[in-house]
This record gives sequence, C-alpha cells and structure tokens, in this order.
Amino acid sequence: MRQTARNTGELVLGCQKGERTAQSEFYRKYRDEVARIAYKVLGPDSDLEDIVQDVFVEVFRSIDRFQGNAKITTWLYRVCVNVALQKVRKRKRRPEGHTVEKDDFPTFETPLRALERKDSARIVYRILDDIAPKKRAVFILHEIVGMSSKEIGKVVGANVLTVRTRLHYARKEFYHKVLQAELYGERSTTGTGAGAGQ
Amino acid sequence: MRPPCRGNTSKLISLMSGSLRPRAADRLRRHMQGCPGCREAFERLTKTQQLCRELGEEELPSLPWRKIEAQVYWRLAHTEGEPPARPFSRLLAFAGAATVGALAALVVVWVLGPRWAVAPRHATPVVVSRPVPPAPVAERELAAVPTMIQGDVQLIDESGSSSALRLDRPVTQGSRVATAAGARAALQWLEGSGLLLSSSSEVEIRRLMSRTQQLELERGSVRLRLARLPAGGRFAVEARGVRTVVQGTVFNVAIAQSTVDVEVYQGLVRVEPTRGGWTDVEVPSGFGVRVPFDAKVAPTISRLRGGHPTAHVHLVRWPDLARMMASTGLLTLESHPSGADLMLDSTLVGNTTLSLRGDPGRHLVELYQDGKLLDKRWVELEGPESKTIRIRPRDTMIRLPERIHRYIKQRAVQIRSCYERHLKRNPELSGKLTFRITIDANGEVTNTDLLTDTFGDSRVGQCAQIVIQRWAFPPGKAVQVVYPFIFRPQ
Repeated sequence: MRQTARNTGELVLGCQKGERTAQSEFYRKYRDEVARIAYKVLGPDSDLEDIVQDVFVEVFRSIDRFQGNAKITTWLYRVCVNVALQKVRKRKRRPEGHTVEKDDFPTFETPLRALERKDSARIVYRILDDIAPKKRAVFILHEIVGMSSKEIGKVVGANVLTVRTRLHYARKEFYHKVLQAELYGERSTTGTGAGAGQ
Repeated sequence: MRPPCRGNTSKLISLMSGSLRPRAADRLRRHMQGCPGCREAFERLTKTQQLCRELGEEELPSLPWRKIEAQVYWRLAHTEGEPPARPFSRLLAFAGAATVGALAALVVVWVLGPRWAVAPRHATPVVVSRPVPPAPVAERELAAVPTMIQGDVQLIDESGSSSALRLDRPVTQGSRVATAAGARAALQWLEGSGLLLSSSSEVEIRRLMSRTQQLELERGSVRLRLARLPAGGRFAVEARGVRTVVQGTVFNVAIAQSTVDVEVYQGLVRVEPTRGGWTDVEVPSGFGVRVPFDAKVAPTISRLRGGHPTAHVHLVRWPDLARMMASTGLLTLESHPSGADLMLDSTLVGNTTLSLRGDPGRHLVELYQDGKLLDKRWVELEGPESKTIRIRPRDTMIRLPERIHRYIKQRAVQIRSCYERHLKRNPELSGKLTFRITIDANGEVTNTDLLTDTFGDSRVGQCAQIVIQRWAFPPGKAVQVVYPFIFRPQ
C-alpha cells in the first residue's frame, strides 16, 4: 500500500508529532542528501552508516525545535554538519590511526583511476584533519560541496563575514599544508601499484 | 619539488582564490614566468583545488538504507528522553572553571578565614555531612520489540490507525496489538520480559516504562514472562475489572466467556479488583484463579491441572536484539508463479527458519533482504498447514568481523591483479565475484565457494579462488563470510 507523498510542511509536522509514517517518508526523502554532506565533511575513511544513523536520530529528537524560519534542508545540513564535526572532534581525541584502518570502501572494486583519486581524497582529508573543525566545515562546504558563503552562513549559524574570514584562514592553512606535505609526492608513492596497472 | 620563493606562498594561494588585487596578481604572474619554484607550487595548488572539486562530484558508496532506518527507530524508542552526551571539551571547560573557582574560594578563605572565626570554641558540633538518600532512578520509556509474528497481526496506534506488525518496528506505549484467528505474536521489552499474545486476542500497552509497566487485555489471552523489576517497580495487567499485579514471574491472563482466568506458572501474583468490590487474592505458582466479570466476593484459588505447564514466551538475548531486528526484520517474500497465495506465516527475529503457508503445490520462493536476493528455492506445500524452511543467516554479510575485513582489504590487490591480468586482453572486462569463505579458529581457509561469477570468463574467478585459498587470517572465532568483489573498467 503506497501513501500519497506529503509536502515538506506536512512531513515536518508529522515528524514533530512523532508519526512513524512521516518519519519514514522524511528519512527516504532526505537520506541521500544527509549521506552526501556527511561523506563530504568526513571523507572516505568515515563510518558513513553510523553517521547517517546519528544524524537522523538527532533530527527526529530535535525536530520539535525547528520553527520553520529556515528551509528544512538548511536546518538538516546544520544538524548533519554538527554531528559530523562532533565525530571529527572525537576522532582528534583518539588519533591512533583508527579511522584509517576502519575503511569501508573496498578499493579494489573500483577502476584504477578512481582508486588513485580515492587515495588522493584520503590525503586531502588527512590534511583537513589537522584543521580546526569550524574552519574545516566551512572549507569543505565551499571547496568540495560548492556552497556559497551565504548558504554556509545559514548552515553553520554564522554571518557571511565570519564565514569568509574562516574560509580565508582555512584555505591558507590547507594549501600551506598541501605544499608542505608535498601532496603529489605522497600520491605517487601510494599510487605506484595503480600506475603500474595502467 | 622546488620550494616557492620565501613569502610568496600566501600570495599564490590568494591568486588561486581570486582574492589578490589585480596589480599584485599581474606582478606575481610575471614573477612566475621566470621562477620555476613558484610556478610549480601554483600548479600544485590549482591541481589540488581541482581535486577538491572532483571530490564533490564523487559518487556515494551504497548504504543499507533500510537497516539504518530500522536502527534509527530502535534508538529513538530506546533512548528517548536521555540527555545528549555532553561533548568532552565542554566537560573539560566545566572542570577547568570549577577548579579555578575552588582555588579562588580557597584563597578567599585563607585571607579572610581568621576574621570569620568568631564562633565560640565550644559551639554545637556542626553536621558536616548527612546521609543523602539515593536519588530516584529516572523512569525511562521502553519500547516492545516484536520477536515473533505468526499470521495476521495488526498494530493499532493511538490515533486508531492500524498497520501490519513488523519485526523491525518497535511498539511504543499507547499502542495496541491485535491478532486474527490463528495468528500469534511475541513482544519483548527488557531482558527476560515479554509476552506471547494468543490468537484472536488484543492487548493495549498502556504504560511501558523501565520501572512500571501496565497492559490491558481487551480480549483473548496473553502469556507473560517477567524478569524481576527494580525496587519500587510494578507490573500490572488489567482485564475486565480484574488487575493482576506481579513482581517477576510467568503467568497467563485470559478472558473467557464470563470470567477472567489467571494461571501462575512461576512466582507469585496478586489478583485485585480495579474498582473494589472484593479483596485481593494472592496466587502462587501452580495455581490459578477464575474471577467472574461481576464478582462481588473474593474468588478462590485452585490448583492447575497438569501441575506446571511449560510456559514458552519467545524471548531472545537482549543485547543481540537490535542487530537481529535490523537483519531479519526486513525480509520480504516473492513467490512464483506470481499471484499464488503464499505468505510468511511466521517470522522469528534472528532465527534462520521461516514458516510458509499458502496454496498447495510447488512454489519458487524468493526471499529478499534490503531489496537484495537472500535466498531462492523451490518449496512444496502439500496442504493448508504451514511449512518451515531454513534460511541462511545474513548476519555475516552485514557485519563482517573487523579483523577479516581488514585482512581482505590489505590483500585485495592480489585479487585485483587477477582481474588486471585479464583486463589487458579484454579492455571491456567487468563483473562481480562473490565468495563464501569458511575460516577456522586458526585463521585457515578451509573452504572457498564461488557463489557468483558474472564475468563470463571463468579464469578471473579461478585465479581469485586460488589466491583466497592461500590466505591465512588472524586467529579468532571460526566464521563463514560472504564477500563480493566488483570490477569495472573506467
């Protein structure tokens, strides 16, 4: 039995009342978006399944506080980014290579070029791990997700000027580190096997 | 790599971001023409920026959406009302502030202390500490998890809308569960506490908190097994003006034609009227009581016929339930020829057997989990009675032990080389290999079955199988894992 799709307002209202059908519909509607943002913020070495779960638990627990002043997607991104940043902070407290080992992406199942790109992605995220979470979030939302400063401001709850300042310092820090770490030198060592196969 | 000129790195980053003033940008570009270090650094920066943009376009890995959804509901039902974990940084800040405060207070006391010391030398002793009564444990709302569904069982929520009871949907307080004729359902809400609802019965879960639980039996019969509740806890079942109160026991409450029958198999229960009229009766194990609907006097207890009947309530080990619920609650069934009356008659959470009922004849049954084919087989149904079939558990496919996963990942390059060797001959070669690998406690591979090979060239599969057979996993629990390897050329 298939129910007719509700509009977003009705869906949010249903979730606020705790209706399971509304929650289910909401989940189906936004799960891809949530996973996409979480993946971008945390990188390929994250346990995406757990993050998505945490985000939706947080969303359904706190949807009562959603006043309707912003778009639901903006609010959802905010929850998502906050949960992801909590994970980043946790990861920083336990830096013993835990995240690198817990790799859920079997590198062998993708073509060689994608494999090489994934290794590069790992290096990018490894550098981002050294950047303060707030700056990291702004950097990722701008450089990787492609949001404007205004949109980012709504998501992270800061004004545009603050976002631009954070972005400026994040860029500076990130690209400095890229040059310092000799990024492409690292890539060529990790990608030797891939290069040989091509 | 040659380093860029001293002090130029920030300018190069600004140039790349487009935030450098035009005149300064022109000057830097001119400088780069004659400076290989700066030029190289700028190229690397722009390449990295390009790479970041490509990351934004990368496809997401596939996720077990239904499993995640089930786990979200599970967590909502079991942790609702709990405050969110306080971030460690805030705790640290709080601890720091508290320490500073305490030190400041000590300094103030040390400086001002003697001036305050005005109390007489033989003042009444001051009670420094008094015994603090233990803080009451906060009540937590629970959710009942269906552990067995047989036949048509409906879940009716507070608004009155009903839907079929599902193994992956916990039942919260305020809901009712109703079984049709010939159907049964088991629910569990704590380790060792649950109920078995008989056919043609209906029960309302009025209150389901960690310490107090209350059910109302509307019709039919319910069997309950209850773990001992914490001090001050209370469990009660009401049925037609008769309340049965217990502290931890196994018993049955049934509504007959004009009476409410309570049978006790373990422990002791107290049977009392909800609106007065007669005095309470205590019913020990092996006894029962029959209370008429309009009872005016206390009913008498009588010994149960047959002594202590086996009172089975389908309970499972609590810590495993969330995982089991997520893995077995998502089964769907399709039968061929389509249109045949075939249904999942009974599904046990975490179990590997399914009971099927339907039109007599030969059915090709396909079981799907998370939309993926889990099992496929012919089933012969002879009559109206249900038939039980065993299914392969899928747990091992969902939660691969970390040590196994890590080991396979580290050696995946060996499998990849099998593929790449043949890819050179056929650039279009792509496919999927799925292996069932049996690993003993010493980590040795005792068996490797190639379950799926979609290559159309068996040599890749054979090569991979030989590679896997040589693997030696870290010692641990003996397991059987199913692992897919997917290969596609760019």
